[in-house]
Amino acid sequence: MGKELIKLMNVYVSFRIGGLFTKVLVNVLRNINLIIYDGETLGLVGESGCGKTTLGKVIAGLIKPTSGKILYKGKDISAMTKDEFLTFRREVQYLHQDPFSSLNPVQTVYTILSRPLIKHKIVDPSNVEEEVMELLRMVGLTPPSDFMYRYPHQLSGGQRQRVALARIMSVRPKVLIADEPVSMIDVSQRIGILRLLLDLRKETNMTIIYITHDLATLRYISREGRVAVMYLGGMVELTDVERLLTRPLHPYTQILLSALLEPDPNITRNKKVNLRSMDIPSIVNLPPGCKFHTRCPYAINGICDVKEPDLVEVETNHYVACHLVKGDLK
Amino acid sequence: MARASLRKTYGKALSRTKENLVEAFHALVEDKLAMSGLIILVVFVLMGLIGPFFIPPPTPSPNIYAPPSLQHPFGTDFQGEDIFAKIVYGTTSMLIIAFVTGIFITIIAVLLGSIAGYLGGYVDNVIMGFADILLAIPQLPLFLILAVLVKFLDIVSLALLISALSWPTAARAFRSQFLSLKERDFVEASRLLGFNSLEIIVYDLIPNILPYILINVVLNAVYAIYIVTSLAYLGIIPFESNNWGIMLYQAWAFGTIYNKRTFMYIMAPIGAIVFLQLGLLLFSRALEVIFNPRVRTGE
Repeated sequence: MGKELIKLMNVYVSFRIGGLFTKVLVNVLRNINLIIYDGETLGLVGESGCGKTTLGKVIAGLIKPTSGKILYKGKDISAMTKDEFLTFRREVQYLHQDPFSSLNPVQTVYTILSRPLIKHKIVDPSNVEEEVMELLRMVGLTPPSDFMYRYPHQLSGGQRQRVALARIMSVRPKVLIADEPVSMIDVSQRIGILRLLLDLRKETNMTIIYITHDLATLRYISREGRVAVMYLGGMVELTDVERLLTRPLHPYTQILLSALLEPDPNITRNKKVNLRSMDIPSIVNLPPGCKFHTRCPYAINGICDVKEPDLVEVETNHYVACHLVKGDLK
Repeated sequence: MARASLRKTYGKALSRTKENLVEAFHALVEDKLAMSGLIILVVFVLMGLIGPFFIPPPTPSPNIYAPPSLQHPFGTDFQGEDIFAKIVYGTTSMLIIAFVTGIFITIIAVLLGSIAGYLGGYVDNVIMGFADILLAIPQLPLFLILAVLVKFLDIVSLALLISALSWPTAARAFRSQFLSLKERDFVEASRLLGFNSLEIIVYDLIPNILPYILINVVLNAVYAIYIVTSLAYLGIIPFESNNWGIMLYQAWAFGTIYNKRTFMYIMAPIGAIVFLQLGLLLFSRALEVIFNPRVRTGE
């Protein structure tokens, strides 16, 4: 594993929602501690509303944490000088989920790709056009001259996502946060985008943080990487992808995996999801103790509904936040 | 070396602009309504610019209240002046006031609307609070009172005064456009690429509402014509004898509406106003065709 690149220390994010008199504080992320190593692939998985997108945006510096620190290459990003922050901005990029909203509708592909090149003087002004062509070739939009002067509305979802990727690659990022990059794309084009992400990773050795609720695509992207499972704004399990898939320890992860579809429909049909309650608790009104105890089939009264478990290393490189798992291995 | 590369980049940009213009022209030819708006407007502009060189200025003559004839297409008025000549001589100032006001209102509205919409919070509250106060005051009575206090000296200062009081509606519209646009992912993407707020407003947001801005110039020009005509009709603009609004008032005051022979006396200024407004409104369609890439490329 490479050296530490990004380090999140006790990150909390809360938003105020509601009207003038009925404001409530919502804790979207609670006590996130995470180290991201140079060159690794990290998956963030969880149900919708668990805070994975927020965590991605916090890492990209788009959302300021309410408390806690984010270190990039050992430096706190909130205490950076203007130049340092601009470098951080450039090196940590975020790929949006919706390619229909992430490209400016009135700019041609050429304008979209050349602007960052000119702004950051990445290539000599005379080479901008060649560089744009090279970027388009890199993301598989060939021949580039067919796409250079098109507007986003003349491209398909997959092609738009490729342009968005090319724009990100134009600033030579070190970290790419991909927020469900294939969920809005035609199923037939998904594998192409995923393969492209893998190729780009191999070529540039960048770190990829892959946010998803789809464990199948996660496995495709980060066969050797790690994965963090999130539930209601907290991290419940963090380990290698293979280990998570074969030996999940947290009850939530086990249930998440059992929800995966099997090729044999009979197995899927007879599968029972072993949950005490199907409803995910409201994030506005979080349950006390372990946030999963209201649904967990193994929850013990008096422990799980009182004290929130910490994320502890139960085996090498396998972190779990569960009272039962700790007790099991004691 | 550097110059050669610069020429290359600019040359590319120029050839793209040319291509866009050709595309826009083709789209314009296909849209009949937009094209007719453009033609009406061009006729009025020519009338205002070169009309006075061909048509002698209206002079009083004993031939009063003459019916339409070849010599006087719309007849003559109460002092025997040719009505057609008066319409032509009134065009220039009407066009100047319409476009100066339209452009000024739009500039003020885009500036204040973009700042309020993009920055939000306290700045937004102050600007929009001020806009609300101005919106609450009825415009025409306000001008009536101002006419007592300030002397309207020439058409440009009048245009500026109208602009200074009439920006709130447009500013509100631009603000709401900015509010919705700034939430789009491409703004966040631009921020991630290191662009600052000014660059985002100028390069990302304004081009998105450019057709809307230009249409606003035209709509505000329409509004300015209404206001100026009304003020002239009410006798508040004393420095213009050939103003269409004043002609309308005179035609009305001298009872020409009750006489078949002088029917064109009152219809000529009304027709001029209606056609100019219609031309402007249809022309705003043409702007949409030219500046919206979706409409232009026909998809």
